[in-house]
Amino acid sequence: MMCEECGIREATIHFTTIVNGHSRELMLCSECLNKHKHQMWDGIPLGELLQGFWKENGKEETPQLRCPSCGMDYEEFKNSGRLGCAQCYRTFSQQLEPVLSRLHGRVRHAGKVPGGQKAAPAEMDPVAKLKQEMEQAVAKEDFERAAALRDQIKALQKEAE
Amino acid sequence: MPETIALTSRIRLARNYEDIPFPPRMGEGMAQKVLDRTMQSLNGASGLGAAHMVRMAELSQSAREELVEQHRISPELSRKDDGALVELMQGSVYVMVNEEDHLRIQAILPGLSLGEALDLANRTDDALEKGGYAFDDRYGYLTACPTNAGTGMRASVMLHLPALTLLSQIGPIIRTVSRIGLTVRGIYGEGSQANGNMYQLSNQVTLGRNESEIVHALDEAALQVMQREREARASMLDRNALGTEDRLLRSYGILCNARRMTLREFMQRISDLRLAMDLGFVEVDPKTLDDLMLEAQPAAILRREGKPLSDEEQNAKRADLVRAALEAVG
Ligand SMILES: [Zn+2]
Ligand SMILES: [Zn+2]
Repeated sequence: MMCEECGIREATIHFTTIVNGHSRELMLCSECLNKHKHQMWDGIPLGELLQGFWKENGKEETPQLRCPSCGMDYEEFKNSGRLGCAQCYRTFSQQLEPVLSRLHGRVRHAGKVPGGQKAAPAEMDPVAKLKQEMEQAVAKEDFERAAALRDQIKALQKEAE
Repeated sequence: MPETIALTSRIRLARNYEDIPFPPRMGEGMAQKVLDRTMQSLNGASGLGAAHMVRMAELSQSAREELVEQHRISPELSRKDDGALVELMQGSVYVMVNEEDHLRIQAILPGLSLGEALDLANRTDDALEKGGYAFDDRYGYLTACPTNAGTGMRASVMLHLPALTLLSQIGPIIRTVSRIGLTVRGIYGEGSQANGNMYQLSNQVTLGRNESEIVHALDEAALQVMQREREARASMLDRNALGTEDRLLRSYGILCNARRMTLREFMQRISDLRLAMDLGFVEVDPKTLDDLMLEAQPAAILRREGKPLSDEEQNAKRADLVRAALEAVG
């Protein structure tokens, strides 16, 4: 029997996964088994989840973004589901926001902070905060709100001058 | 004898150094830099005990597989020659170096003890952060895969749920916990029976909640599932006490007498024996079962024999091993 996942190699192992109540029985080759074992180890199907998200969202205008630090481009990130370095999070932040918000609900770190400060991270300056909200509004295609936020930002910046 | 529904608790923290690309994009010599920096932080730290480091490149394929069977390293690390494993605090903490992230700190303790495991992981983390972590106020600890960003923490409890499995009550439980951001998986995946009725309960969400909140939710859920398992055991005995005792002790008889045993059969029978022990039908040291479960896995048998085995030979060796272990305590 052929592997039910890749359809290329001979299946050698009968494998059952139960993820969130759905049990799936598969005949797999050892290579595909390893893939499943990795997911089990980590508790979440990583790349696939992101892939699925991008496919569903269907917005295929690939931005011409490239991380200045490690050289990863958006296309590569999309295909692998992995970021290349810390700077990548800043480079692709607009693309990441909706993915993270769907995965975790709330895109705001609330946990441990290096340096022993157990308190929540310091408040951002108001302009940066509004800019972030504006980006989120754009990501959600709520352009009306984005425009309102842009006006607020302008007003604040004028004040500062 | 205390029952053993919760077998182990595990906390994993994913961390990366700020100034080095994540492992999937590391260039020449960077893996060594990560390892050097890590060992320097650990050797200078107090209260973590001696750090024992082993590079994957120094280990044979079967030695790596055995570490995977013991759940000390992931299958992914076992395939990376530039990866390494560091053991701390007498084997309660393992740090995988250069897996998908520079560091995967794991604390593993027996029973339901997530809080203590988190404490051990945190102490190790505090020593390692001197290396300069990739961290962002908004996204938290930055990880190669954005699904781990934030706390970078995966907390999990390994549960032995034979009665709930037998009474087909796993499905509804899984649906309940998934509503609170947790996930349940069968482990030792080699066929539905062969998973030994073990399940891993873990958190899915890593961003927007703090470590204690996540651990607390998982703890509560584990306690509830354990209570349901106890109820299922009671109802199993209510319905058919003699039949249950008969079935479980037959497995004990087979374990003590079989001359050949597949991994699949072994996992099912050992689950029966563990349940028989919890219900007081037989007295076996739980430690014997835990050790046996590791020793009877394929790579562990291969290591003991020191040569490749056919399936038949492996099954015979497994049966020998089981008889010897159970005779010693019986
Ligand atoms: Zn396959
Ligand atoms: Zn980058």
